[in-house]
Amino acid sequence: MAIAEPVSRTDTRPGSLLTWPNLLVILGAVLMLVDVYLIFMVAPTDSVLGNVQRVFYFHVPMAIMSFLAFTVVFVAGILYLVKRNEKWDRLAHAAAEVGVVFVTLALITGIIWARPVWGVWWTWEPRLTTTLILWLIYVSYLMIRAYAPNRAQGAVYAAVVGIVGFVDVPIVYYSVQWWRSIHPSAVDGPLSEAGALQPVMQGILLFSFVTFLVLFLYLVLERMGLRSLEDQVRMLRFSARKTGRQR
Amino acid sequence: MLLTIVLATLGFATVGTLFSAIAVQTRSREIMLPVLFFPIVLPVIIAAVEASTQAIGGDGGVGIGRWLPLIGVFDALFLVICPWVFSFVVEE
Repeated sequence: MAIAEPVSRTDTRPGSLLTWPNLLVILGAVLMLVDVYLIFMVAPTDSVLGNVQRVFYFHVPMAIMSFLAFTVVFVAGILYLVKRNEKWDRLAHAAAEVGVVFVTLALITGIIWARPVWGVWWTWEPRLTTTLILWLIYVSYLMIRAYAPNRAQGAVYAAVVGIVGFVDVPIVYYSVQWWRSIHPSAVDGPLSEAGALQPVMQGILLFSFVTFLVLFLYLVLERMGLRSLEDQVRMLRFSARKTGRQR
Repeated sequence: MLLTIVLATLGFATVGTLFSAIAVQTRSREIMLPVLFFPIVLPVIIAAVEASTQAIGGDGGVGIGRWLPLIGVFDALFLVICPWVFSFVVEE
C-alpha cells in the first residue's frame, strides 16, 4: 500500500507552536471566558425583557461577523476570478463556511429571543426575511461547490454566486423593507430604538464584538489550513493513483 | 404595467441565463437551478408583484413609483455584473 514515489511537496515543517491560529485560539478562549462572565455577571438585567435580553450580546456580533464573512467572500471571489490564485478561493471557501455557521447561529439565537419577547418563534419581519434569504444564498454557494463537475469549475461557479449574491443582499433588504412599509407590521425590529442601551451594555457589546472577531479570524485561518491539507491529500491520492496505473 | 413587465422580464432573464449556465453543468441540475436562482431573483418578484398589484388595483400610480425604480436598479446592476461573470462561467 505504500506510495512508492516519494513526493517532494509534503510539507513537514516542524510544528511551531507560535502560529497565528494558535495565538488566536488562546486569545479567543480567554476573551470568550471574560465575555461570558461579563454577559452573565456584569451586564445589568434588562428592565423590560429580563434575562432573555442577554442573548443579544451573542446575536448581534454573530450577525455582524457573518456580514463581514460575506464581504470577504465577495472580495476574494473577485480576486479569484481575476488572478486565478488558489489562495483566494481557499479564503472565500473558508469565509463562506464560517459565515454560514454564524448566520445560522444568529438566526437561532434570534428565534430563542423572539419566542418570549414577541410570543412567536418566527415572524415575516423585514430583517428576519432578509437574513433567511441571505442564509439561502450562501447555502446554495456551498452547494454549488459540492455539486460542480470538478473543483476548479466549482471554485469559479462559487465565486460567481458569491459576487452576485453579495450584490443582491442590499437590494433584497430594501425590497423587503419597502414591502413591509406598505403593509406595516405590529412588531418592529429588535434594534429599532437606538440609544436605548446603557453605557455598560454598550461596552459589553463592544467587547463581544472583539471576541467574535477573534473567533471569526481563528475559524477562517483554521479552515484555510484544513482546506490546503485537503488539497494536498487530493493531490497525493491523484499522483498515487496515476503511478498505480502506470505499473 | 407594460414597463413593469418589460423590466421584470429583463431582470429575470439576465440572472436566469447566468444561473442556467451554471446549473446545467452541475450534478442534480434540476434542484440546483431553483436553489440558486430563487433567492437572487426574489427582489424582482416582490417588486413586480407589488407594481402590478398597484397597476391593476389602480391608486393612480402612486405605489408604482417606488417599485419600478427598484426593478430598474436591479436590472442595471445585473446587466453589468452578469455579462462580466458569464465569460468566466462558460470558459472551459
